[in-house]
Amino acid sequence: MNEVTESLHFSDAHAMVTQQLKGARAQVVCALSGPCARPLFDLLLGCRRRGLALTVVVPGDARDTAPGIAWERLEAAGAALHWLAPGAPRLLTSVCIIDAVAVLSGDLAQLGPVPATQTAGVLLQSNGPLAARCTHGLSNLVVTYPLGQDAMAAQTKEAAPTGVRAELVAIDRPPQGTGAWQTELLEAHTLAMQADIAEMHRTLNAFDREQDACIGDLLRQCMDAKRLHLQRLHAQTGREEVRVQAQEAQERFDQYTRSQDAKPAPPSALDPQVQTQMKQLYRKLAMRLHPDRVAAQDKPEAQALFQHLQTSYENNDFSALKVLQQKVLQVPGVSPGIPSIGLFAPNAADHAQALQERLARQQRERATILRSGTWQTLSAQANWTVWFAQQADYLRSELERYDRATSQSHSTPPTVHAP
Amino acid sequence: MTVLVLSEQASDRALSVATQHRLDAAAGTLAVLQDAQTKAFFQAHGTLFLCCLQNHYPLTSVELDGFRGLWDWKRLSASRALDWSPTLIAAHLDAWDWDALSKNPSLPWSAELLEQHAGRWNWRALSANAGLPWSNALLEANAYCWDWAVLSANANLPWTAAFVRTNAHRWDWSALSWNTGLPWTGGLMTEFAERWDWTGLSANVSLPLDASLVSTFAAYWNWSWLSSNPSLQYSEALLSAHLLRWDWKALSSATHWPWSPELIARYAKQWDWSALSANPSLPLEADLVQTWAAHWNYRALSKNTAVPWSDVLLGEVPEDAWDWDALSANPSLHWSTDLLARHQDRWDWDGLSWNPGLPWTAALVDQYAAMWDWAGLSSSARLPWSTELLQRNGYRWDWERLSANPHPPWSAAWISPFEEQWNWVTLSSQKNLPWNADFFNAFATRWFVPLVAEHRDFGVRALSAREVQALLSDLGPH
Repeated sequence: MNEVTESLHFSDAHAMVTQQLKGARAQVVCALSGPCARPLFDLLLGCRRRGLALTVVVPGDARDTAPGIAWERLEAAGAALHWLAPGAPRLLTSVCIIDAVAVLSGDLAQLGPVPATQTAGVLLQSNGPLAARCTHGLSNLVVTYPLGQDAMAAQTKEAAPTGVRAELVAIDRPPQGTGAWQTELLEAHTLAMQADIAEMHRTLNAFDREQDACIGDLLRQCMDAKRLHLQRLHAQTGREEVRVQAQEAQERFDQYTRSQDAKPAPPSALDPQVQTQMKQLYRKLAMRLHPDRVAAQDKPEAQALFQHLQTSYENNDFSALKVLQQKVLQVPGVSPGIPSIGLFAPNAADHAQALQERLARQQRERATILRSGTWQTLSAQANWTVWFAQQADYLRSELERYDRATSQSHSTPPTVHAP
Repeated sequence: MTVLVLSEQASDRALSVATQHRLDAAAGTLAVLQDAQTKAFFQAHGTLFLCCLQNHYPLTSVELDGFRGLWDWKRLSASRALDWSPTLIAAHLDAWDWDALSKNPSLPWSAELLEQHAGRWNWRALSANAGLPWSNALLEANAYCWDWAVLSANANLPWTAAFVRTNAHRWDWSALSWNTGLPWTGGLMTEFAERWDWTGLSANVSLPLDASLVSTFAAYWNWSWLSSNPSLQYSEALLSAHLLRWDWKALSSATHWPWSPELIARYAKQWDWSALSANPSLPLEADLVQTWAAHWNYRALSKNTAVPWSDVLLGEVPEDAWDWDALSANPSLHWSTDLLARHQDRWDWDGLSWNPGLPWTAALVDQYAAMWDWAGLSSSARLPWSTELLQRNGYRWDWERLSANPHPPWSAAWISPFEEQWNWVTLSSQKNLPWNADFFNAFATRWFVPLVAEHRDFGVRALSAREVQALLSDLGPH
């Protein structure tokens, strides 16, 4: 029995996909939603060379947008290569099913060995039933037309690259419910992304608390000294740029003071082991409680529980999460095994569209956090305490500078400029 | 749609507005400070600043033109960080090192760029450059410029059978035969059977080496190389069909085969038992070792990491049958201080010193201090590193190897007491050191700055173009 697990990978996606494909033992089925980049092509080729059964489904126009990829090499190596017919609906997300257990989905086609923060990530799910649904979904979707038998075959013939003996394949007209496996993958991706963002928020909160404890007072003093210094400087010189700087310094000081006053009591710190357990429990509960994953009549309750989950996680409240776990078992609609509403939604296309939009929004939100100065600092520092100690030294020397400037300004014209 | 709105609200709420404001205000204040520290650091270390800039900063024409005399153009030409564009390349035609440019995969490579400077490129270097947008058209357009011998070895080309056929008169067929990028099939091999270098093909790991392909070209293979090819797909038919052709010594060393007691028994007469004894992929259970007790080469077995080592096994054959040098270097032995003491006179202490499998402790190091090869100890990942351990054996350590060892707990405190002993060239290249401004400053006069700047940027990328230009101006006349 394989344990069901899932994890979302961003900058390390290439390494993870490489590890998964190199660890494959029997069979790889890969379907791409867009043009294929060289790294994935080479990995797939490697799979075939190791004697694995390999099936690859590629959009018909992939050859035009992926220079340097010689698909013939895959076919020559013995892979089953399928080209999607022109006009066939594109897959919502790339998918790779390994040994009928591991399912990779997301930015598979475009991943590269150089970490890229803007990637939408690759989701790894170790889940036999899901792998079976995906494989079955693909096989249902792909219909082989013998050469010259009908118009579709003729159409596909034009799509096949010169010299490539590709199978002539088309996507059948999607019947009701077709693509549910793709929707399921998208849904899992958005949930994993949401958990990832929640974890980033939790880390930011923890950093905020530690920063406040270590250098909060010094920061406030420094901002205060800077604003007063600039105000005095402006009074003495009347320069416009100093006025603007003074105003900015005042706003920053006000903002910091107000936010410190509004600060709630700090939640207790957790040891790393408990934190890991809490993270796992959060992700598990988020998967079960997300309003998307319950029947319509259970939505209101799921919404309330989901909001409670977010708050508890933000506050490092492990006991609240455990209580929630108990409670979840009593809510009929949110018990494990209940399929996603997306799988049976009357308007599956709308649902998929909504999921894609949400994924894009989450990606933007994640990118904003990644770009923020705080995140760049906390992720670059292996030991926050050491970093805060260093910043405390800097802040103290900065305060001394302002003190000196203030004492000089009483006797002589100002000589110190704002940093 | 309700659900989506809810998710966004939940997400926003996860980080309260007050927290966000507090973090922003703190980050803004600290960033100003950090920026000032970075500038002050680089002001104090001008050479380091220049090296970091050239290795890690996206310099533009403004800096390159404005401070032309400061640059090492060869270093710049190899940089992957520069803000490369056709305009940037065209603006400094005579300054670039065109050999370095031709090897650089980060340039905005295109057919137009190649055409534009066709007379300047090093086409041999270009032929091996993985960054080029390889296509049939690109190759055809510059057919007389490429180095076809280098191209023949380049696995990144868009290899197809048709492509091989079209350029048949241009290839270096020996290089082509070793190339793993070709779409190898029986048809392609047959078509050019007389042109291939069959030793190259026999060693090529990309060939689909199943029973059928091996039999088809039985008369062509270099059987010694073929027997060593890890892509050879084992089958009973394959082995039995060419019993007299195989190089059984090479086959006996194969680590990727489905080794089983049955397979070993079936070809017991053919195996090279010395090679087989050293093969770590064998299922060397006690039974198997016992069954073929008379066949094993115990000297070869001594280096095998898959053997279920025990005192009983060691005692089953006369001590002289074992290769004690190989045993000493084998990390899979059932190592203990007792085992070391029992055979103290048998061990090769040089081999032991490099062996990560030993139960390394400070006491063990001290106990046999006079016996160890200290070069091995100095490179060890498993020693219980401490300043005391270094001090106690100061004159014994190989400081060159110690300086290159990534495993000790590197810090200023670790380095300081032995400042005269370290090899500072090696240390400067060590990526595992805790590089930051304070650490650099602690030994500022010792470092070999260009080597440090090869792997560390010290925050130079966070500086704005204006700050960089101001710092460059401070460096003096240029």
